[in-house]
Amino acid sequence: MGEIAITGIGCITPWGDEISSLSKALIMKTQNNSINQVEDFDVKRYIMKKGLRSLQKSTQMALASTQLALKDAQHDLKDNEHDRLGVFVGNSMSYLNNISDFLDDVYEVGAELVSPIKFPNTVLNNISGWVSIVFDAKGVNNTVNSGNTSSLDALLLAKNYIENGIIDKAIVVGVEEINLGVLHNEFNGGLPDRKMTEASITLILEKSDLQNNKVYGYLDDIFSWQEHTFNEKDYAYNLEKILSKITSTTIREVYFGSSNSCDKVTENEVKKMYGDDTDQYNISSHIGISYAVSGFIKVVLSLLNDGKKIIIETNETGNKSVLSIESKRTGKI
Amino acid sequence: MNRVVVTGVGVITSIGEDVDTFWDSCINGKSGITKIVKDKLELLTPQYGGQIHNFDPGKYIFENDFNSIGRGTQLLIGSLRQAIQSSKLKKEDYQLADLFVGTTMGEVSAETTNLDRFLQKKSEKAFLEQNQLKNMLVYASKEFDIRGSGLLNTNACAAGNYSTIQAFEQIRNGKNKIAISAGADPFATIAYYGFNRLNAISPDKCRPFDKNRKGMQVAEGSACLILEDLEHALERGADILAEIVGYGVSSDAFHITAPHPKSSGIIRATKNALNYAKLAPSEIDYISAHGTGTYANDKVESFAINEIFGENTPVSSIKSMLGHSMGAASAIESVVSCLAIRDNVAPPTINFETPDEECRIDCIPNVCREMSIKTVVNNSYAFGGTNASVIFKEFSK
Repeated sequence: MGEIAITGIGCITPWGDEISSLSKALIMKTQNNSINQVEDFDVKRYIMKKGLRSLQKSTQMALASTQLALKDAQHDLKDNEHDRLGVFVGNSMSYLNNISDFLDDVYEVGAELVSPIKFPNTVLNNISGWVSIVFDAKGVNNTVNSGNTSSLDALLLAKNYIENGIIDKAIVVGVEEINLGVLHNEFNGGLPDRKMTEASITLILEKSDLQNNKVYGYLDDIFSWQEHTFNEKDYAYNLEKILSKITSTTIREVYFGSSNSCDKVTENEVKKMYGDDTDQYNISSHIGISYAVSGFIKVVLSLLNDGKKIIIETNETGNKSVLSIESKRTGKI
Repeated sequence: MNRVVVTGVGVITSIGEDVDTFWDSCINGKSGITKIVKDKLELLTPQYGGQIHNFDPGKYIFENDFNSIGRGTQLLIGSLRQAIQSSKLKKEDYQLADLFVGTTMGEVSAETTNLDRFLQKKSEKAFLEQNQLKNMLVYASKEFDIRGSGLLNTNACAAGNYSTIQAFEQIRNGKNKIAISAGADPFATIAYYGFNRLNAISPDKCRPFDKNRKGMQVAEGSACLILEDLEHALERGADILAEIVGYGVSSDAFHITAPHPKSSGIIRATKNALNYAKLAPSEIDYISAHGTGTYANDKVESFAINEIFGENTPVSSIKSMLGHSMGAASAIESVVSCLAIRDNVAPPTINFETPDEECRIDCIPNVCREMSIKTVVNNSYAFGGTNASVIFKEFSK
């Protein structure tokens, strides 16, 4: 035993807050340059707690998806067990909106008069801080920022802390808000020329020998490596090496696509490795750029039916991740 | 499980741009707080902080165009180069290392000229390239052709300790022989404005644990530690500075900017670290405090130290000299922990004048103390209530 299981999922996505709603992303036809935003989002629909209204949308979405995930996992901890509940957040670009918001006020009303309430939103770990406060999570609290692989890197970190015996259970959040600051920086003030998606997804992880409820699936291997310069041959070589380490009789599905130059290489390598025996989904054309939450969108899609799945997430330069997961969706239902 | 030792360090701070100068300044109680040179800070008075003047990235950066990367990354690469050199590792060894970096604001604190362009919606793609956080890792890895795994921890002021913990576990669990831990933050205009509005900045000096303390000073810096599997280090005849023997982490789960009034989170972090290391509080010789100089932090930290160690274990805050270098702070203090063990001397808490009944600790006031130091606890507490303590020990076979 000792396997790490996913026991709860919470989603706040442009397609709804049901887990199955993410599958709509793969069948809906949207324009190439559209932004998939979470419309009419109101955190109060999910959590009634004082002080949340002044938070940025990314933080509010993370709190809402975590609330849904904990409910889904039938989370019920005794007082002393909160000390061993960790929080891990993967985020990439949302902070740009918060900084833009804060600095706009600084230059408008002056540094001496800017609202002190806005400053905490600019600090990069404010999301994980708020998740710990709202859900009384007193274990390790860690935010990672590694671009598109942020949520999978957060997942790897959570898995390590559980395996090392530091915590028993983890709230792992991948969240990204697409707002003016991000759009401006990505497209230099112009209109998007690619599809973008914002969302927040929370997974609850725990040791399989501790959980009493049914599970969505088990994390097998997570591989993470860096490539500081994009080179097709290097990436192909490294990916092939990693995929060959994943030993399984049958890989049922592979999810990939990060809207960057790696996608084509990934597609070729996946085809080479698995041929026609495995369903292969390149979600780039459906999701577009979703930064930190990109990996978790793939994870949730992979958990919608049973079998061994592989998720590949990339940054053109920087971290790359491969996750293998054993989905037990029917067990959870 | 493998034993983990520190075999190389590097620092860039306002009181020294190399380890020897830094350590000499540190034990002699030199202040690095000066008038801030940063054009947009005319929006505020007073204007003091721990800036590094005359930093020349060209001394450290050869494989990247240093003009096109942010200052946080420049500082990071600087201390990384020092640490690699001091470890005497061969390229084929450090190329395979895993790299863990901590930062509070990262390149968010871009130069004000860039910020202006950003706000006026005139910034070019270069702004994103310079300031996208993940690129701190990308540029650092490119500089040294590091090809192991990498992670950027944005855990505010505990980010350096979190990086050390992850590097430690990587080696302890046999996943790698070498892992690099670093912390880096440039002088952050945003942090300066923000902490000022939270009334957390001292108008003159930073006076940790003093009755008349008025807050912290925003600063910049970076530090880096090379962590190595003991067997690997012995095999190659490395100089071992210290061993890492445990850590503890926790979250207050209380308030986004204020520490828990009963110190519950930080007490748990320290106790977890002692339990991990299988050490009794009486076996700790020196505590490198978080010691920001704010009323609330120093009060709750002193309370926690009293609860666990009593009033007599020596404690000091080098933030009294450097100011608060954010994500770099706990990495710099980890270097201090190693050097204190190496030289059997603890740096002072400078600017200390008036004892505070609420801070009943031995804060090594104003003058360093020579004493036997075999074990050190390095505390770091951060925004959002996240806490991390790391224990360093004199290496013995």
